[in-house]
Amino acid sequence: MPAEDCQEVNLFYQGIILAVMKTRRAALRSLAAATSLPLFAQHHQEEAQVHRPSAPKYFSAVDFRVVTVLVDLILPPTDTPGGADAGVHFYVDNTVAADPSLQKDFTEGFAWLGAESRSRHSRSFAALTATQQVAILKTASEAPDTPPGRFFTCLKNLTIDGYYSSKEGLVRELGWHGNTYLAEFKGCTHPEHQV
Amino acid sequence: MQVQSSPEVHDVVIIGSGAAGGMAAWNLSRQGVNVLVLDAGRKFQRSKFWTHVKPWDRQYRLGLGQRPPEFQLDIHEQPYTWRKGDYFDLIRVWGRGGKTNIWGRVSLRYSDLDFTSAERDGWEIPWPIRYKDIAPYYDRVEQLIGVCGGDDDQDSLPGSKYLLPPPAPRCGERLLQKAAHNIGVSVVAGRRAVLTKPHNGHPACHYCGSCGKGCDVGAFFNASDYLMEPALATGRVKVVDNAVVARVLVDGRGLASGVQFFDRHTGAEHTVRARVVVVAASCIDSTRILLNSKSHQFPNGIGNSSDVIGRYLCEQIRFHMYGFLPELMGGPVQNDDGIGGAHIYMPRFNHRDSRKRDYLRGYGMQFWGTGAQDNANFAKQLPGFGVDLKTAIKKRYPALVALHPYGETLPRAENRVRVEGTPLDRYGIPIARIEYKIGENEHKMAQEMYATAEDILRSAKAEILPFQRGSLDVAGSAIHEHGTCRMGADPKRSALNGFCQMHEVKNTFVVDGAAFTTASEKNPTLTILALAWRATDYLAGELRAGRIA
Repeated sequence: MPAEDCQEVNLFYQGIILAVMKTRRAALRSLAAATSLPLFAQHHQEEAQVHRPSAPKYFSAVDFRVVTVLVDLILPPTDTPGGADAGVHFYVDNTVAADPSLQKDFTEGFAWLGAESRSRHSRSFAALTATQQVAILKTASEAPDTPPGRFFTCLKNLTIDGYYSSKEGLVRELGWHGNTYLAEFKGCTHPEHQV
Repeated sequence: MQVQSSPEVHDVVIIGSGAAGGMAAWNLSRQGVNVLVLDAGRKFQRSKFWTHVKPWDRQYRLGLGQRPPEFQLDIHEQPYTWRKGDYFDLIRVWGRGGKTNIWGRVSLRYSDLDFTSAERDGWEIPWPIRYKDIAPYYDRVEQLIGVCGGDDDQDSLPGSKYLLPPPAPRCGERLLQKAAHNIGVSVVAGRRAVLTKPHNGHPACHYCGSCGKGCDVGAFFNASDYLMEPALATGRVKVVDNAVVARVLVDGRGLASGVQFFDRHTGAEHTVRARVVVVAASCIDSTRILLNSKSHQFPNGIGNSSDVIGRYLCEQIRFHMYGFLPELMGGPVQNDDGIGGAHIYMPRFNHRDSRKRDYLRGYGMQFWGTGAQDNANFAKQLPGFGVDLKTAIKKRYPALVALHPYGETLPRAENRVRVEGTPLDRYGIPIARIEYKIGENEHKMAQEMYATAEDILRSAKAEILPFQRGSLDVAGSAIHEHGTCRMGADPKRSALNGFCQMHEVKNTFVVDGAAFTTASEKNPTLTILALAWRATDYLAGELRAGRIA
């Protein structure tokens, strides 16, 4: 049974809303908003551990190492998780595994990365320093209408999709706290924003 | 294969159970009429919707091979085709409630600007009805289904005494409203068929913003919960699910005698007999059925001696423009979910000033995707990578605003649905071919739409994401098809009268978007509901008086 069902919220209709709040801040806001409603604050379990596969579906171990490096170059760990922390390398692997045209793009893209790395530094991409890797990626990113540029755009978009649909990206990094249960929607409460 | 036909003659057979078909079933059954509804799918189970599945859990479930309920009809199951070079993205929902399971809930009354537009500018024909004819029905629909909104009505957006309280605008929406106001453009409360209070036994919205995945509590109007269920409770409605209708059958008198349909899964052919047929399969599907309903009396399709049916297909033109507001950049992240989609709306205003324009008709504007979203798709348009990109995304995330104007498309005889010579579907019935292209009028209107959107964002001092002026969303993506069985006063230039009744076939009614005479810049569903209610009031009266069947 998927993790989501374990913390499924029970809803009682006819004006009584069962609210499961994921943050204290949201809980306080909701309690304040719903003083006229009987509110059942049901204890909910800590979210189940986020599930990660143990091995890639499509990429070889060597290529997967490159994917891991790339997603961390595009969205690095800072004071918040980076691409690999958020499992984006698995997201990319999963997506490419299902799409033959993406597989073609990545094969060509990786060939270019390898050729560029050997040409500049006589090593494979994964063996370069971070500075050297960034420089090569920058070359691709600055030529969007070339094959390496298109590969870069594809990789960047996949990384953005994977990262900002993960808990690490959407919640921890950005602070999203939506798709929850509110008794009322307060909207904008800033007097300086009014017409 | 044996054709299964039942000898029973139903009072009314209704094809489709979406906004139009659901309304027909509800309104006829409560007046004592027995109806049979044929729906191409079955009821969607609310308990199976992924409404509250978070984006990361969605990835996990998909990885396990699970799938959310599929609302959209797969083109492989039921193909359609289009003219080469003019792709049309047709979205169909086969199942009880039709597209209302996942619609945008925008509920705007049409005005006499719409009903009389052809009288004023001479393009094609005017509607055979006026606002005063439909206003009482708008009143009834809003009271029945629950529509929230404000009292800030305008000539292009008639008001209502029956609206539920509007949801509070988000910060970005307030700021856009202010910016528009500062350049003389009025932005009002949106009118949405979402319950901000419990209504008629349906629960109020809990502001999860996840409406697009289907509402698992039924807090916005959908024709299955709000119309079909009460209709079924009268005991006068029978439904056959998984009934893919092929043709309306015609008898020797040139009247509809029944409907031919195929079981969606087994392919078994059925016919049912009826005194009256109400067609409500959604614009393109209804039109396909009508054109395929050929007979000796109607070689061009039932009720189509005028050759109007299939023609005058209109969608609406639309684009998206995005920006970031300086007041909100780098600020705290709010829960901007609200009732899902915009809480504000910009009514059409281009008919009010004295500026001379090189195009006809007009446009309104919506603002979906303003504020903190459950994604950062805008990030794909920011340059670079690395820490700088990550920082730039985070800073802009709470400040996102989105503008998308909708423009009226002129009805043209050459924009049409046809079935001659098209491939057959799996049941042996010709599929629909869509031939549709917008014209000079729309391209010129689009230039002003871009200018207005950009003016609002400049007034707001927004950082504007790059856009391509003049570029429009793919045809069909606004999902507002109308016009291919239009109503009108002259039977040589229209297929239906003002009650959606076929001029030539008194016992056949077409009550969905196909009946519209013009497209308007406004969303059609509220008007479909009002027209279907009015048409079936008339039909019920005619049945009682014995003037039909």
